[in-house]
Amino acid sequence: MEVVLASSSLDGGIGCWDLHTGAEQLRYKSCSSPSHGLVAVGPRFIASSQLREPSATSGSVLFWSWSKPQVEVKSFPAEPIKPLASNHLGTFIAGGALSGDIYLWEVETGRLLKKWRAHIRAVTCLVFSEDDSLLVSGAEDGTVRVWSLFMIFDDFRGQQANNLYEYSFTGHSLHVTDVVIGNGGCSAIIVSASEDRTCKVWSLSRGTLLRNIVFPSVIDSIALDPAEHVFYAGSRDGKIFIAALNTESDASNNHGMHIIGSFSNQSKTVTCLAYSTSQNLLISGSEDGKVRVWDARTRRIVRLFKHAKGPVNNILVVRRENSSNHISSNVQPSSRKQGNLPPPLEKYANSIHEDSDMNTTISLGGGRSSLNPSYLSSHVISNYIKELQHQGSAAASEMETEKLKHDYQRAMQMANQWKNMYENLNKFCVNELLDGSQARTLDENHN
Amino acid sequence: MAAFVHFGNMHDVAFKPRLLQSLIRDHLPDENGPFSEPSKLSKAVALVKKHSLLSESFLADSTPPKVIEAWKSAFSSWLNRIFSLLSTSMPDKCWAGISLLGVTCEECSSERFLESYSAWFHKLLAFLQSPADSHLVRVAACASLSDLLKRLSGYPKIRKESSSCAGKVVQPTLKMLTDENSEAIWDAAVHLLCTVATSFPFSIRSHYDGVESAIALKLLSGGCSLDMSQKLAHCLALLPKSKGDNESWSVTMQKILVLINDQLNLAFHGLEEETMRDGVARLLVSPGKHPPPPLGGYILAEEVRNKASQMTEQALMSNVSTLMSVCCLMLKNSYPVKVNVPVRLLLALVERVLMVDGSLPQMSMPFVTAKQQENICSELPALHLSSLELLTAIIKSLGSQLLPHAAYIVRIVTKYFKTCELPELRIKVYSVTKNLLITMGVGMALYLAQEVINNAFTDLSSIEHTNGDILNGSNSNDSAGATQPSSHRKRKHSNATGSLQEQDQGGGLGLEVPKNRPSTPISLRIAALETLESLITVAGALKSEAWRSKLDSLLISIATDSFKDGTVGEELSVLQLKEPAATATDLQLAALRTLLASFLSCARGRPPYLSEGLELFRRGKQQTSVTKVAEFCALALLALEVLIHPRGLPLVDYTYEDNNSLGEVHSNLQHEYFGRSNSTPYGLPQVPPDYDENLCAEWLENGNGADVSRDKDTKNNQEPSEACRDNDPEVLPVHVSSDTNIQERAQMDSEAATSADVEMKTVGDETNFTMNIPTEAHNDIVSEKILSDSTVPHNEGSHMESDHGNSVNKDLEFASQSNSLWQTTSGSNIFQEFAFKVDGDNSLADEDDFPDIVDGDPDSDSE
Repeated sequence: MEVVLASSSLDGGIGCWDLHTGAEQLRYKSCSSPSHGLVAVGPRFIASSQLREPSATSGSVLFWSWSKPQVEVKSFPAEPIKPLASNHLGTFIAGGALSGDIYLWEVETGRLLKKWRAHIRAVTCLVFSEDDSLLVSGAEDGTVRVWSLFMIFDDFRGQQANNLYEYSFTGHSLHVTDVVIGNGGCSAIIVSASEDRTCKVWSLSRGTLLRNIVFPSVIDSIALDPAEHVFYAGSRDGKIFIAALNTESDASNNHGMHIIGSFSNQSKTVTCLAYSTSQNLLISGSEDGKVRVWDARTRRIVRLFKHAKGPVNNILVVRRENSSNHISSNVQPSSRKQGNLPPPLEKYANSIHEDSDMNTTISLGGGRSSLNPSYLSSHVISNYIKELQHQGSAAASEMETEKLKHDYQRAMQMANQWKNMYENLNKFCVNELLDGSQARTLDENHN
Repeated sequence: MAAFVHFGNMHDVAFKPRLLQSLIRDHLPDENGPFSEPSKLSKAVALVKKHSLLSESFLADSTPPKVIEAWKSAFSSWLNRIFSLLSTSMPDKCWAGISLLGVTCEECSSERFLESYSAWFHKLLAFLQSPADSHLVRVAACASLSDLLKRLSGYPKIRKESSSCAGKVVQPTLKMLTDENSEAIWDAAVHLLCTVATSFPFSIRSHYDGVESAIALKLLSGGCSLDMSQKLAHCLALLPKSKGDNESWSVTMQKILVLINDQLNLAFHGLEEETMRDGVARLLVSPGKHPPPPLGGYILAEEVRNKASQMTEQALMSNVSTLMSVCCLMLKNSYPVKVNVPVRLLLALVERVLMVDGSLPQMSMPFVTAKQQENICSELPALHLSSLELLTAIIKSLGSQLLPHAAYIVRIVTKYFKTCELPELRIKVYSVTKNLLITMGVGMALYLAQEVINNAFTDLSSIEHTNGDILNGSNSNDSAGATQPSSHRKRKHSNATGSLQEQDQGGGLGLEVPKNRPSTPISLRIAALETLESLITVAGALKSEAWRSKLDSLLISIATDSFKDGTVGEELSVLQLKEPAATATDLQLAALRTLLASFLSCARGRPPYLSEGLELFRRGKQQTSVTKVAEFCALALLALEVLIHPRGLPLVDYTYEDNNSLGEVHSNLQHEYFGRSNSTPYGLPQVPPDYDENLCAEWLENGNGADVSRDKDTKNNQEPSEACRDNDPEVLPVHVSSDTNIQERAQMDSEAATSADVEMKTVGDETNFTMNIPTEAHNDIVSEKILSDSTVPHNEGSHMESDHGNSVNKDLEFASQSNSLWQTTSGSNIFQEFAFKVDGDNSLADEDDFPDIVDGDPDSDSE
């Protein structure tokens, strides 16, 4: 089941709809998220950063399990967090703070693993690369930076190097509003949008700008076509532009260079976009509180979800294994196990738990490598018979015969020796007897 | 009577009871007669399995009841024979009966099994418990019971009954394990225990300590064969499952680690630095916590400790190896709940072992005899191997969660790589590296690239010296070694090409290959190639400038070499009785795979050795006698075909209706053409001009040998324009499209006029989107372009001008539209940064209008 999640900056909860049937699922309560502040942490739960007032000096991060509408875990980081991101397995959560720092927590224990100075001004968006080893961040200072998490964790090299980041792209002159990263490992592209009305395409492998696309209006959100031929850009004038990446573009249309076309929902600002790969659907959220589902081919609205009165500012498309209703009714024990949410995220890097620094909690046997015992009896039979045959084989018996022959000869020799000795003795005795009797007869004759 | 009652064919059901009956009659021993030919028995078992004679499976409606009845009766006579064998007093017949019952448990139908398993179980259990029987009988009883329990575990409905059965088995098995003194019996008993532990883990729980101490005793007292100790290790690793909670897993793990540490302390006495030992000890027992009870209980531990002081270093170290494999198995096996893995401690132990190389520190010289040192060094490779194995297990089980420890692992691996010389160990280090690269992705590759490259070059250099000129050439202008601080490498043969710095310092004196150096074994070369392959796969294009060109030339030379001596290895392997671990074919395959990966990962236009590579793959495809290579080469050609004829297939059709008016032929051609000229996405910048040129030549099949020379010419001439290209992607479409068109024109002159027309249109379209630039500048480019390209026919100039006129017209059209102002400004902005001198006034004026764009300056994008 593929579901759409939508949240708003005003408290309207998190709306959840089945993308295929259009049926509304649970509505997760009390959520007012900033832009990019909603994330599905692996298959386990939903997390969202909270920022009630823009000027607040503290914020929170809330967790909802999939099966319950109420907030289950509340964490209070040291400073307000706006964008959140999680790696694909859901083992780490990264948060970008207003001060420009990035926080990295371990989900299982809630430990704050690292916190580093990433940008001069507030971080606006965060995204993990396809293989989870890189983190891309965009900020209000107009920079987009690529971080290798290894470098972040390697204190030794971090001190040696001038910069922690791998790349720092400084093309935008105003706030970066959205960043996406494509597929292709090290040859991936990064597309960033900014309030300076441009979108820029960066090459990860070369670290350079590949394309600069100027739009008639500010772009707030980007969604990549899964084959990366185009990307969709949602603008503040209510249009969704299609910009060319790897396809022919024709400047004879009236949009501008590299812009293939646009379609509009006749409404206010398009605030967020998401793409559902299974059906080629583009989902847009708008300032009027509605979520529109477009067929990417025909560019027509297929579905319309009404979320809230306030502007929708986050949309996620999440693939769920089971429907949440089924979990709660049928598989009670397992859902409780799954529903066990991790502890809240820690405020500070805690040096008291040295112990936990050395241990890592993991679930074993994801690869199902557990050996199944095999049936044995027939092996025992064939082994034993092989052994028997081995003992009874020609070579072995020949050896045995030779050995027996040798023994026999030695025994024969021994027997002969004994025989000789016996004969000698016998002769001796007989002679003695004969001599004795002769003497006696002589004596008798004498007498 | 039934001599002529024939059946249909070998699939006929009627055939099966018949065969079963005759097997019972002819092949099974009889309770009265002598058991003369045991080999007949295995024949019978093989036939029973092959034809599934005991399965009693038939289609209920289409099978005549007579046949069903016959099979039923045959089965009962089979059972009867087994029971009569069981009741004899002759051990060999008894053995046969027990084993056959085990086979029956495996083969019979579910109904039969469920009906009679409990009777069979009790019969078998009796044999297990009676100590009078011969070893043979008890081994067979263990095996058959294990089969029965395995079959039982497949029926979750009778879970309760079956676990009680399993529970009854444990006690007598343990007794056998402790009382008997034959390895065959231990083996069977351990197998039975493992079956119980996997299938019915909870039935072991009440005997947990007993099992643990029995196995620990066997493991630690030494004297088991290697095979046996592996089985014991497996069983010990399964034990925590019987409790199934996080706590017992952790405790078992900690017990084992404490034991490993103790034994290492004894074995490595005087061989290592105290700091290492203390570091591990600190991690092992955290302050304020009690250490867990020793493995197998206190009494056993005392015994073991007394023994250990008399044990040789060899025995101690082989114990450590076995215990490490227990850790591996515990990490690999599945476990019902999440566990706390002491990663840091495990890594510290691995490091501790790997850092001991048998050398003595000065101060402990008087305390260690040469004999002791000899003992230790003889066992060290095995110990290193098992700790590398443990490292692999850690990497695999932790996956992405390894992140906080990744730097530590990388340091261990790189440190060890420098000292490690034995081929077997190096292969293992390569496989650890490969795992790291694949599991951790791009970030890890950035870390490890230099290390992998250095080591792989060292190991592959023995082949390389035949064409060392390539390498010398590339080494001299290479500065990759600068990032690698280790110019003082310990390895003797690293001076070949391993350390680039040394090479550079030597001023490229050529390769010195020490005379007495043993040639690198094939398996090691394969491991090196495979690691290179995964490095290229993961990060072939990311920050790879330093090593990429060198690597490409190495790979093509290895692949070429593999075709020269490929056949010799084949013949040898036929002659040898046992197939060798790695043949020349495997090496060839590894070389070709790596080559393909290097071609596919080339982000910067055309791979330098593409044509040679294609030739090799074509040759390999024809080697149909070596199936593996031919198969792979076919796949490689398929994969490279996209590189030759690139195409983009969008998921969704993005073109608008008005585009289609140009006609299908045109749009097709345009599409294709467009796709070809940017083989990498948005990649006009990446495509060096000679790439296009060659492609066109191949495409039109005109360039027979002429294009090679042209290649060289243009390479020299086009350096500057290439530099510009890199700087400014915006302008590039102009370059490339005009450039290609020029070439295309040159080729096309002899072609039909119609196709040239189509090309013309393409030119118009291509230039359109970038032609919104001042006229002067454009003329500059075009003229310079033409001047630099000596092979371009003269009529190009006029042609280009006509194109240009076209685009100027369009420009005017644009000017009337509001949007086009944007483009004009951006275009001119970029042109200003471009190397060409353009009057500044024009663009300055524009900047005033749109200050935003000044910052969007693509030149200062990366730092």
